[in-house]
Amino acid sequence: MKKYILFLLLAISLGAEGLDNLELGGYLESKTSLMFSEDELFSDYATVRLEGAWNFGKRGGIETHVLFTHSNAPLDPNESFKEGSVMERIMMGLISGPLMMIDSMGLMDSTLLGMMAGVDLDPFIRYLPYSSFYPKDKAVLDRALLKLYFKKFDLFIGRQMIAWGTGYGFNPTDVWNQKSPIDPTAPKMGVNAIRAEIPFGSVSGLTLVASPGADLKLSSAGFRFKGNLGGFDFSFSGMRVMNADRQLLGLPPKIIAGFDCAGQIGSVGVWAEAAAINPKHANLDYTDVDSLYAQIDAGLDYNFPNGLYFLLEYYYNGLGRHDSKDYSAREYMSLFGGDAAGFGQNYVMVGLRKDFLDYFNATLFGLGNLNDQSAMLIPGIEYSFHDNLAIDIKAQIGIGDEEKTEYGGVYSSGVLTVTGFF
Amino acid sequence: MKKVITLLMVALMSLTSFAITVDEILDKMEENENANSSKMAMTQIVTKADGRENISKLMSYSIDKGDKGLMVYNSPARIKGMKILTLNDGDDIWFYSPRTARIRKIASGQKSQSVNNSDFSYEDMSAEDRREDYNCKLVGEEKRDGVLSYKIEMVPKGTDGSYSKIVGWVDKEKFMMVEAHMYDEDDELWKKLFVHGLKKEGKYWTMESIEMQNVLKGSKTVMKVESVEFDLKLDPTMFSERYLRK
Repeated sequence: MKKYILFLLLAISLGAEGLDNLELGGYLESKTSLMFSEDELFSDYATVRLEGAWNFGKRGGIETHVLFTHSNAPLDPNESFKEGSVMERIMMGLISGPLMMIDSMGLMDSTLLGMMAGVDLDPFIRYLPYSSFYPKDKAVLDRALLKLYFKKFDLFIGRQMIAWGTGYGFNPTDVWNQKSPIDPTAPKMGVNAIRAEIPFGSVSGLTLVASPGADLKLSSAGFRFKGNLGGFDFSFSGMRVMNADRQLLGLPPKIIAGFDCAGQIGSVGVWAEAAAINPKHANLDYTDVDSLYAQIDAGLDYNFPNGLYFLLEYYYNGLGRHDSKDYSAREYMSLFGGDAAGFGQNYVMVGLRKDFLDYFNATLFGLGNLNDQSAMLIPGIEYSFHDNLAIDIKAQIGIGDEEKTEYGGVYSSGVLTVTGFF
Repeated sequence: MKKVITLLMVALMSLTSFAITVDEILDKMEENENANSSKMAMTQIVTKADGRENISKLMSYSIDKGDKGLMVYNSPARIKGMKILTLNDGDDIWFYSPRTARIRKIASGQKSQSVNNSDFSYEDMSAEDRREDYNCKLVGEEKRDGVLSYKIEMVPKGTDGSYSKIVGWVDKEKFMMVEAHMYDEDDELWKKLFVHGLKKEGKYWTMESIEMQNVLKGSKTVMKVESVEFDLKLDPTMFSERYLRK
């Protein structure tokens, strides 16, 4: 895999007729986090992103992005939840079935099971990811696309980043990415797709996307018409979504009608995004939702004269539960598969940002589940050490009932990120 | 940067007892600024209060006499590929970040925000027709940096803008803005703008650099013009969302 990626970058370099057309860049990121659980485990990652682009002038170009990641003790997401939390209860429910099946089929010798029961395996398993026996290096081809510019339209073929919608923390119409409201600015990963951009005016046009999968049934496609009216950017979209991940998670295909807009009322920036989703009933057990549901996002932001930035966003999740007692494997799978941004029905996000002392900016974001009364607080400070070097410290603090709520059962953590661009 | 000057020069309206009226001054200034299109290579040098410098390189394009504009940052690496599109004389601004592939419309409430950590705001960069937005008057004649200039004062009619008042000085011979002072909502001096090295490039006046000082923060930003071309043929499709995504 690495050789293949290096070959691609080399091919771009050698293929360039003139170095003026070649652009190389990227960044290096080091991320260390500490989870305030009983074990207080560290995890750290080092990531290098190599970006290469070669432009054929006005005719098109090639773009390749490669991500190399070395992870020391990658945090198992399941370790982030407290004992007795909603998430642990759901996950235990999910794995109890297969364990019982293994037991009933006699796939594991009962003597061995007995021995295992008597031995504390934790010191062996928990520290395995820290050892050199554990695979730590990963290379991902994040973007590899051909860009072809025609007179009336542009064509993008290959692995590419697609970003739809206007929401900040939540994007119900962006079916091409999985977004977490806890880290809304995380880089979006590439999608294998063919995309056509057909402009009608300066800020209007039609986007067509086809993302092929294993076969036609496991493929996705969509369109997005974008326009501008009365100072508002708006768009209508339609998508059919299915892929192998959804098939494996037992999530059904879905047909989506979407709308989004962004503009301003007075001096206040406003946006809204809505999706009506009609999942196709496919007898896929507990994840099957056999009715039309909606997901809606609406937000506003404002800059006060003293430089304080304020953001407020509301998210309605028609797939979510009103009562935390009903949180189940279905919600877990919807979250994991990107069908919903949380377990509950109603969420609110509040954000503040302020630059200070020239090189610092402080942020405080809060994400609240209005149904179960839990919240995640995310304070952070970023320091611009240099034009191309930033140091960022963030914390995640879960608030709420540890056993009954979505965020109350999450261990708090701190993350130090240093990013250098080249 | 042309927009900052346009912002100041276009806004002046009222009559005084001087031999020339504000409108006449404005008309003459507009004659100097009427290039159909322009292309500028610029270096942005931001000097913070502690003396630390941040340097960025960018290209600035405009067509339709500044009605449509595009800025493309080429360095430093952290912001390479960042683009700002302005349409309708700067009334509508879109910001494109290559890291997120998102195009975000800048609301008027955010136009006071700094562009790329500089002392220029989105509002400073937009070429709005301020004749409609400001009450203006010619308040005197003064020498600024040895240049005899008309002193013009303009006060916003509405509450949309960031400044409570702008005072500008216009070279009496060249009819080009040479200096301007911007005041905050408490009527306190906030920013000072200086135009350095006025020179004629073909039919049009241009400058070697433009400097914005933030008096309150003690920082300054110099936009150095490395090269400039006027009335060249630019592809109108550059000034579109389509181009931002390319």
